[in-house]
Amino acid sequence: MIHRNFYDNWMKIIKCNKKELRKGKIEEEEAVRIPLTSIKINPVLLNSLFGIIYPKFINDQQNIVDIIISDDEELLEKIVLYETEEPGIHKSYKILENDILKLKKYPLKETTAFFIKLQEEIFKKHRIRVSHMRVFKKKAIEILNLYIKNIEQTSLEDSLSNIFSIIEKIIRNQLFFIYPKTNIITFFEELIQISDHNLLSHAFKFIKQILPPFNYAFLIRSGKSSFILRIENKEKNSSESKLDLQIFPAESFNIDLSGTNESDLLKSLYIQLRVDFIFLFELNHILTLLSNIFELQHPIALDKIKLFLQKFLFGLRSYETYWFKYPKPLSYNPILRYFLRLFGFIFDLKKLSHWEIPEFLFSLFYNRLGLKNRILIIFTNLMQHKNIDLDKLENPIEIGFSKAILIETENRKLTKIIPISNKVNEIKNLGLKGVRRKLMENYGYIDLALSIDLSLISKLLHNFIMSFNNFNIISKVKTIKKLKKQHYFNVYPKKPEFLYLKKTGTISLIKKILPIFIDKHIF
Amino acid sequence: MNQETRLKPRVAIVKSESPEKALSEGLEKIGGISEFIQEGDTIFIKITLRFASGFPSFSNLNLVKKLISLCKKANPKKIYVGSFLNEKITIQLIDEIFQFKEYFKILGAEFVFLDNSYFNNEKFNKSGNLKDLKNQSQKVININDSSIEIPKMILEADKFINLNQVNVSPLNQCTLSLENQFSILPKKYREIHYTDDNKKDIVKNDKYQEELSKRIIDAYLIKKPILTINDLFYILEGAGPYIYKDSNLKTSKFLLVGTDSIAVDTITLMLMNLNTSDNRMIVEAVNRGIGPKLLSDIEILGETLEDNIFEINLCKTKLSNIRIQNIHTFSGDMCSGCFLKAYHLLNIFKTYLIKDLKYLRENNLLIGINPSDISPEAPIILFGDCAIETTRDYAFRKITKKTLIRKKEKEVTNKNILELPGCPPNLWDCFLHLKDFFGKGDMPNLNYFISLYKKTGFLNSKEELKNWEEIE
Repeated sequence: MIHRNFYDNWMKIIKCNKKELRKGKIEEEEAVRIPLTSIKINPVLLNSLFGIIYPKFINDQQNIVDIIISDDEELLEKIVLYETEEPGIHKSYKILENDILKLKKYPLKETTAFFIKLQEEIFKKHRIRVSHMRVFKKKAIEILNLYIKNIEQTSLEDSLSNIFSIIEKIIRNQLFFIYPKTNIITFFEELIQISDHNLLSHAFKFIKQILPPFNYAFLIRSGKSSFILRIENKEKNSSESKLDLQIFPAESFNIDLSGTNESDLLKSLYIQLRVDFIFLFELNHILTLLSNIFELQHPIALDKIKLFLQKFLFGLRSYETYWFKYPKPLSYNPILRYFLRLFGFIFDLKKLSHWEIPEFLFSLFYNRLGLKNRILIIFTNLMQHKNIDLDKLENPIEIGFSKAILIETENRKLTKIIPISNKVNEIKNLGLKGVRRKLMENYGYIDLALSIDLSLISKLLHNFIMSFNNFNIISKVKTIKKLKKQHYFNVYPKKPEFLYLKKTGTISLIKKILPIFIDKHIF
Repeated sequence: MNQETRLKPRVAIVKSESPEKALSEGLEKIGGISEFIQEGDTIFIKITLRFASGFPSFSNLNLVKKLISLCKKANPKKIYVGSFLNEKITIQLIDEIFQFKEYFKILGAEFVFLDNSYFNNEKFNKSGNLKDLKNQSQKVININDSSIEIPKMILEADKFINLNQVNVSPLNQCTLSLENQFSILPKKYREIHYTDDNKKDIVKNDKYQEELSKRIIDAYLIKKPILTINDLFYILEGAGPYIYKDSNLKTSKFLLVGTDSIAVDTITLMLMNLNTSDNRMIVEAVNRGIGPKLLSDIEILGETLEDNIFEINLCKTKLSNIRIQNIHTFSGDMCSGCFLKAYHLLNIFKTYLIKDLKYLRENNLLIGINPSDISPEAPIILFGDCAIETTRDYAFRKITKKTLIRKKEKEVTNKNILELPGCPPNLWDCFLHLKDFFGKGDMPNLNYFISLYKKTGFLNSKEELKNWEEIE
């Protein structure tokens, strides 16, 4: 029923898990694909990652049952029982008889009763107590098969974009569920309510589009199984790039994870991997951060996003406490910091005001845009038009329009994201003011219309998030200057904060903002 | 409907899925829009417009849109929408920030600059035309021996509609339609300041509140609305009427429409389980024999009052209950004027100046007549004339210091005291004093906000408004 491409790969994974290869030698094993993706991975590493991630996000108990049912929920098409000694590690399976339960007597809609009865029957016949069930409708398998058919030939970007789209389709149409329900499924169910369709896939494509070129490696340290992620976003041409991801078990490199200090460890890997920068993170920190994201509920409370941002910024500032980077950025050099201080710039990134920055930004947002608002965001891509003198451009939206969304919030909650690219595309010649005016005829008052160029977002992402601690002051200042240019960033109506950004000199602006964003003391 | 009930003020209580639907249903219940608006009428819709802050600092614009479309069904000559502001800035500045004029134009109405700030520029000022403009647009009327200028647009409108956004408020529990109507008057006529008066008498009898309630009712009598709408669909609760950290937007789904503002306000208070006798404006109206005296004098339509009563979180009524890190408030007896300003000062601190509070460490804020004497160790902020004058002999005014060489103890004046004068003090001046006293290094957020307000036209706007108001 499931496509050969998935089945064969899955069998290899089960086979490897069965052999308990953790005791064996890692390099000798043939790589498998991470299920439903085109990413290749060592099966032993996959085994241990399953052992860590599955219990954390899906279910931390043993034994699973997979059920395929007809689309009308009248028939049990296939039941597969996985006996898992360790939660999440699928070692063996049994195909059970389809008549183990009568759906007419125990309809799937009454999920709890169905599951309890199923548990009883399986225990009676196989002496195995299942902890949870994963239910697929036949239609879900068909959708997955279509996607898996060409998975070997699909690029990483397409593969990830497709899988996001499939996840959304399956969840939106209730073609798959897990019982007992998990946080991760609830999160996706609630998240996709924000928009009418293809939110996840569009979000992924958007992130890919704004991602600057980079070549980084990440050593993810975990007590059980450390591994290395090498991610490269290679620039194909000025407007396109190709994403590449490789996963290696840490043991496959000539390093000693337990003995050496972090700097030597990263240096050794840096030489072997030939990347721009290498980072060290702890797996449990990443999993905690992901857990926080999966706990978000619809409508997403902006206060929770604020809290998440505070945690994220706390993580950023905790360099050499919670994470490491090699080569070490110059920003942490005390002589340079002292030199900057002489000129009135406080640039101590270890005192980044993680608690204040989100608080400050959100209070500005609520004050100016209120507790119920509608915001139009227009994204432009002016990099496609290199021959045009952008400074003389009157309506950047007309030539550079890329996409547009309308965001609605109510009482500090994100309630709706409406994609309106097609509508805006028809009226893009009207400019930001005109587009807002036209849209207000249908949607009512729009509190803020904003146009921003993707190249600017990419620069902001690069200079203030990805390389936030690099001592690339000139590049950072250039990005702020770009922010002041109307064709890259514009808002209507002109809010005081926007006017302030435009009217204040870059150096003066930095001097005003840095004391808010950097603390005087470590709190 | 018999003649007797027809004479009673009508109030419709409507609960609906959207504010727009609630308005349509409410108007139907009290007789339909055609009963109030006739063909060829000039209509003035007085909306809520407080400050350069988003909803609910101003009326729900979807509701205003619905009201305009309903009015248009009666084929009026012209629909004006407007209000004076609660703060000292021009309407033109607000329009630049929100572009209301453009929005209402789409809807077929005109957003008006009641302060004529659209024309309030140097060119007019120099040529003296500003005075002519003022004479053309404003009418002077006499109330209780004082002359008050009111826009002719409001006075001469055939139909006046009051559309009020209900938010909690530190004075009078919440912002009722009567308070909304008060801002048909320019800001200078709404401000209450005391100079040489007997402060103790002002505080003891809360003359500020008394005077405020009197002026609000006077403003109501200038032009009674034919329709009053209290929009409770979304209510700002917890802290208000501006958006503060403790504010919450409650969805009650209720909207009240009526033919008499006092009746609508009374029912609004009762619906929110608030005691009408605690509301000084309603008490003032009753004392002056204005509006219905008994509940039976009001014809309630739509939902029943008894079955729909709900609760809201009101503003803190004691300043010491507004919990702020590093500021300890000590209050003596104070009038509503000082309370109101201190309430906003503390909430602004709590909302926008969190980092500054962390840097300032311990501070004591003293307000009112004879606040308790405190230790002079931490900086002391004296808020208002009453606190400054009644603490002149307090122990904290002097501190003992040891001389540098002989180490003898010597009593010197405590310089760690900041006085914020005024009766009541002006908040903008207070923030400037605070920045000077603590220094911009310890108040980075305040430093940013002051710089923002100076650079983005707020100060110019303030000046323009002052010049306009001073033209005789």
